[in-house]
Order: sequence, then C-alpha cells, then structure tokens
Amino acid sequence: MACAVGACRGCPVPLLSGSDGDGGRYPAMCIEGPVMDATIVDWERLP
Amino acid sequence: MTVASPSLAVRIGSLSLRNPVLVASGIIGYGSEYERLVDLSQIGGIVTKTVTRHARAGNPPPRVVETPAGMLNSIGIENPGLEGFLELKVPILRQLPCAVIVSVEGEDVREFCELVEGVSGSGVAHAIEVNISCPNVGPHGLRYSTDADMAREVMSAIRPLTTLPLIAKLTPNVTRIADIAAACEGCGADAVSLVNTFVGMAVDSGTRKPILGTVVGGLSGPAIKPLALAKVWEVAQAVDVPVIGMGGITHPRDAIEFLLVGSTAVQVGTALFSNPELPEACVKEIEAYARRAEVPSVADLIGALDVPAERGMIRAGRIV
Repeated sequence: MACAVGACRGCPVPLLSGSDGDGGRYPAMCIEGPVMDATIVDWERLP
Repeated sequence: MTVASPSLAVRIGSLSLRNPVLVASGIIGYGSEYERLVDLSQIGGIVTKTVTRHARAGNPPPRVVETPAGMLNSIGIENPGLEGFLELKVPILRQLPCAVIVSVEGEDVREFCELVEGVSGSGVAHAIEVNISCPNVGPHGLRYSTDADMAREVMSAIRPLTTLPLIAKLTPNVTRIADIAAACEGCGADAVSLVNTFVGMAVDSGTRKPILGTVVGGLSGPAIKPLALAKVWEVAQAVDVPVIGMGGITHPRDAIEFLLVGSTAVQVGTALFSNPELPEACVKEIEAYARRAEVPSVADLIGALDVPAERGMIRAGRIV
C-alpha cells in the first residue's frame, strides 16, 4: 500500500464477475477495506 | 544584505504559477484525496491522475512493490474515462485553491484530440499535460514518446484544438531524450515535463515469479534522482521552452537541484506517499535558498548550475 488515501490505486482487490461482485472493478483496499465481503473477492487473482 | 522577499512565481507558457512546486500525475488523484494532508493553497498546483478516453479498470495486482530506495508501479491508469472525469472529477477540481494541470493519454491520435477538446472545454484545466510516456498501458504506452515522429504526430494534431498550455510528458526510456523534447517543442508544446518512470522489474526468486502483475513496471523514488537530473539537464540544453523537472524528489534540497539543472518548475511524486508535507517544505526551501543566494526571483536560479568552463565540452546533451 503506497498512499493509503485512495489516490494511487496501488492496492486493488480483484472481485468476481457477476452476482454481487464486479469483475471490472478494483476497489482500493485502503479506503474500501480492510474488511470486505469475502464472497465477492476473487481469491484466485488476489496476490 | 538580504533580499526582502524573493518572488517565487514562474510561468509555463501562459500559465502563471505562484511558486514552482507541483505534485506529479498519479500521485494525488484529483486533489481531494489528499485534502486533509496537503495544503494546496501553499503550492503551485497539481497534475491530475491521467484521464483516458474510456474508463480503465487498471492492471491486475500486485501493482506496487518497494525496491531499494525506490518503488515500482504498474497501476495501468485506473481512471473514470473522459465522460466520468467531466461528470465526477471536474466539480472537485473546480474547488481546488491551486493550478490544475490535467493529464491526458490517448491510445491513438484521435483519442488524444477528443481528450484535449473535452478537457479544454470543461474550463477546469489551467494547462494540459500530454502523457505520451506511461510505461504501463502497453502496447501503446511508450509508443508516442519513444519516437520523435510519433510525438510530432500527436502534438501537431492537438495543438490547434486548445489555447491552454500543452506540456509534453516524456519518458526517460529512450536513447536521446533531447530529440523527443525538441520534436515536441517544434510542434507547439509550451513546455516539457520529465522524467516519467524508468522501466524496471522485481523478481521473487522463491516463487520464480515476477512480483508485479504485469511483470515490468515503472521505477520511481530517490533511486532515480541522479538519472532524472541528467535527463533534465540534457533536455534543458536542447529546448527553449520551460522544462518541468521531476524524478525522486524526496528532500526539499532535491527541488533546488532540479531548478539548478534547468527546471522552471518541479513535480513531487512518490515521496508524497511517505511525506505529504514535502511539497510545502520544497516551497519553503526554495524561498530560503533564493534569499540566501540574494536573488530577487526564483527565475534567477533556473539553470543556474555553475559548470566550470573546462567541463563544458563534456556536459550531457552536447556530446558529439
């Protein structure tokens, strides 16, 4: 995590496509996390 | 004798900055992200996150990795696209108490044109930084600023579309950066800004995998400052338009160094993440330095590097 305020977009969380997830969007862990809905996170693509 | 109060104002084409300290593109979002951490009324201005013609989700993670004295990134210009920018970001930018330079990048000449027209028409920009140098949006990313003819193609196409100052942002990943700078100047760029990041990579020997999601990314931070100074020095010898220098400014003194090698203004980048007070500290340092040097204006420091005559023959940019 670099900026920690949502500016640098360096801490993206990959989401699953469909259902409640949105495969085309990367929420920033720093401002939309650190607690996230585990069922919509694409764990395979998470570093 | 002490000079009363040195003038810190500088000009980039028709844009007048209250002082020469800017925050670089991709660092401060669209300003509001850092509103509680950076007093924008004390600095010259900000350069926005680059806006592309269409929204971009950005690159797959990991996008950032720390390296010795530096940082590698491969964000991939995550941004809401031109329409999203006009709707969501312009109202925010209008409130900012500093100059707003909007960074744009197109995948082709037509997109560059649409972006320049759109941003210019919004009325929010004091200048446009033409990002022809992002290393992370291949295969187009480095295309326009690694080839003088392609840089000319973009700059010539967009120049008639706006009266705003156009700042061409250059990559250091070329053999002769001065050639690219001169090409942009020749096609109507009001200024050039440099350097963008150096292409680099990080490897995890344990997993035998590259660390960045896109394998390679752009290196920034104090590790690149000496490289950046040399590029700025080379370009400042080659063009008459203002040069905006950046690359690894981490201590306020670094900003002075970039002025001395020929920068009319400087941009603070990566170091803002660990020290949001740095831009203001740079302004204070520049003022104090000008006072100590007993010069009436910061303009007297631009390119004021004292190069001994016998070394003039070997200075960067003049090697034959």
